[in-house]
Amino acid sequence: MRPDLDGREWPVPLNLDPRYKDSPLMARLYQARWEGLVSEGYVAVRELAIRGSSRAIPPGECAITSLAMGERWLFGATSGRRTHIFAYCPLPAHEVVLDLAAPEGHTSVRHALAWLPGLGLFAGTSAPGQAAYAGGEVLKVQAPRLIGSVIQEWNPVPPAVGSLGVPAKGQGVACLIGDLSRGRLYGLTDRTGTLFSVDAQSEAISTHGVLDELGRFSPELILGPDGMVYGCGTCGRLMRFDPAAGGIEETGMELPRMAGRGQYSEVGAWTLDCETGLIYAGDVADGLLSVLDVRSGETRTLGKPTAQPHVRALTVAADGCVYGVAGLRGTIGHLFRYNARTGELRDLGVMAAGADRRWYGYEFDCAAAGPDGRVYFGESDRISHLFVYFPPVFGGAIGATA
Amino acid sequence: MKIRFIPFEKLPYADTCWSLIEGPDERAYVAACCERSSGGTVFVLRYDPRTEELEYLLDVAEAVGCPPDDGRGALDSTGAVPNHPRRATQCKIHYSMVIGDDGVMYGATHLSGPAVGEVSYNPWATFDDPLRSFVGARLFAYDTRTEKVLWTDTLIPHEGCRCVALDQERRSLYAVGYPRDHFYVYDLGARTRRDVGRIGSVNPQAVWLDSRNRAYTTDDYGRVVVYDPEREELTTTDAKAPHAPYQDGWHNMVYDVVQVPGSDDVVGVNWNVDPYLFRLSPSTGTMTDLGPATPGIGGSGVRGVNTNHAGGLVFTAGGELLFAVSRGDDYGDILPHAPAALNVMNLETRRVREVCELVDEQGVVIPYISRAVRIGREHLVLGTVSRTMAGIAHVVLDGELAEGPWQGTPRRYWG
Repeated sequence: MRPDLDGREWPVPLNLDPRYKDSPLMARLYQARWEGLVSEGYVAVRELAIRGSSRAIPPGECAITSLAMGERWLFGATSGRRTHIFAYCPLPAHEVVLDLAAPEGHTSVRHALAWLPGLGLFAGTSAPGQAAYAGGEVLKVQAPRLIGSVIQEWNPVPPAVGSLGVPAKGQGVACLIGDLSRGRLYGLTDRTGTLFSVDAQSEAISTHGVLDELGRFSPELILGPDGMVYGCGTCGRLMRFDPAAGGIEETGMELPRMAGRGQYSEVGAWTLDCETGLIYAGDVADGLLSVLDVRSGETRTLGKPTAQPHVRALTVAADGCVYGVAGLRGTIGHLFRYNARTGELRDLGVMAAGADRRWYGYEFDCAAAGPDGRVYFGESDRISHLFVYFPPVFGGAIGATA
Repeated sequence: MKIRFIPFEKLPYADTCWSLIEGPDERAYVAACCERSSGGTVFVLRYDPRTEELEYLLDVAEAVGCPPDDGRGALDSTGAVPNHPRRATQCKIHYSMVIGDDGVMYGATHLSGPAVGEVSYNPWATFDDPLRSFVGARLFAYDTRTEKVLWTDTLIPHEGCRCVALDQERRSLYAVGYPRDHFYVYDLGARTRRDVGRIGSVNPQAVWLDSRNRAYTTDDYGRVVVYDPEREELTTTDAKAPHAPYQDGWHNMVYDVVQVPGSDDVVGVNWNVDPYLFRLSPSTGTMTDLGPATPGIGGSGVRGVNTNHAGGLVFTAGGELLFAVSRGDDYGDILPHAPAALNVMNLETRRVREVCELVDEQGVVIPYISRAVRIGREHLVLGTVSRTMAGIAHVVLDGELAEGPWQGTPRRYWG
């Protein structure tokens, strides 16, 4: 039916109302529109390529799902139709991403990259949804070498990649962490949540039982300040694996959550503050940030840093702050910061960059901190980049609008 | 050359016209958008250039079940009641109105307009806000013959729809969403949607088809992106739309594309500070640079992306390309003030000449053309955008511009 417009009365829209049209508050309202993007600090993106020289890791294969900081390189791995393991050199004259390897038969390396100084880089592979999968491998990848700066006449030396074996036939590696003090790696398998360990030198793989008897485990492990390996099971129960004793036990601690949400309790991302020995954990269901003190057995909710659920990436930066990204898959994630000194929890907005290319960052699945204060986030979209966040040196923010 | 501006007189707060497409009834279907005022919504109109009748067909927001007050009661002159936030409105249809040969129009709404009681909408800050978020690009099927809405659906939750193409053979729509810049395939039969993934950060302004109904668009750098419906794959090709030599190709997404009469080739223009025209042959993937829409820009100074906008591509009956170029100042506002020029290009010689300035017989200045359709040999209907009024322009072509073998243009199945 056609609209009856002849008799229609049109209310004066608020922003065209002569009473308010030129009001300073109206101008403030308009300005507020542009405040959703990160304006504190600086955001840059790096293409997964030798920029200007090579093709980037292709769309559909470049979602960054693992990051691990080395001494000279930041290492990353992707998920998609194929998985790629890459290295990023943050040195200004060498700044480049090298696509080191694309292991055949695997499609994902998710939260499963560990750098052990002196021993190398280790990756745990998987292939979610792939029928007749032989099993995820633990791979050892040599760090690459670059001869010359990447400004003029340079040559990368390709790394060697070797397999240490398959921890569980038919299962992928859900996560992998490293323990330099023991020279070991710890991981979970992705179907049964079986905890395994790998001796990085002898390459021997051992399994230690399932983390959760119902199989409701978070696909995450973390090395505690006490040298124990922690995981999360049904209802957010914090589980502990003692590498010396070899058993998995309950800690009596549970991941903090909203009321009545225990059955959904799951770790989305967590990170150890090596200075304080505290573990910061972000949950999936509600997007809460919590702090876990495994030495005292105390847990505390710090708050909900963004309006969104699912903390997907978390790291403690050199400035002592916790940085993370929250947001459901398929939406627009926000960067947040927790400052333990002031207690401030702050939504910093959507990451967007003007260099190397102009790009909005919507989805992220991992983070790592550089020793110089830079914070790295792995974009996990069909087309993905390494995001580099430079926290503000002296605090404050540049106005969102000029 | 007769030029008449036709305002949307019955829609006092309409402010833009982006979507304009010819129906099989040889009439122009028009979206009257309202994106700059609180609570504004979009209407579909129809214009017959032969009778000069403008009909107000459809209140889209009502039709798709998203009235501006979000179903929360009557409005007063100051807007919403505090603590009763409303959603961003169904304020416009961008390049997302297509009409099948059966006369059924498929339209998908876009976001940008503020809710009642608000002055602007920020999708980055409110994307999944359960109270304020744009509910999504609503899709409606509307029979232009019976003037009935056949059905409605949500094409893209929480996002606007920038542009759409209609694959009649497969009964599919191909679309790009905003702001996440994902490519979508919508099955009109099953009414299901598939998110094929992200293609960039800046929306292309068109998705077009070739004779095999492969869908084409471009990424942020003008690289041609092809969706093959048989393989269900999206591929970024090495074919790249031309750009000025002082640019690196960023923000060179396609703006408007039109099929070359008698050919499977298309001619397009980019959405860029210095837009270039191109010709693409889908059979070979050959991209040909047809040169700048406005020669001599040079790249110095400060220039907005709409300052020298080019759009409204359509072929004359004689097979020459008509297009409009905006002519703003270096420091142009978001939209230029000066009248746009209507140009014509001979594709063989690539010679361009100005046909006229777009100033109507009453002195109305038309600074920006979004889309164009030619109906019969002489009637050119233009979608216009300016800061002061909303409407369409009707240009009656004469002389050699109205002569030639192409009585009508190839039916366009994309917005």
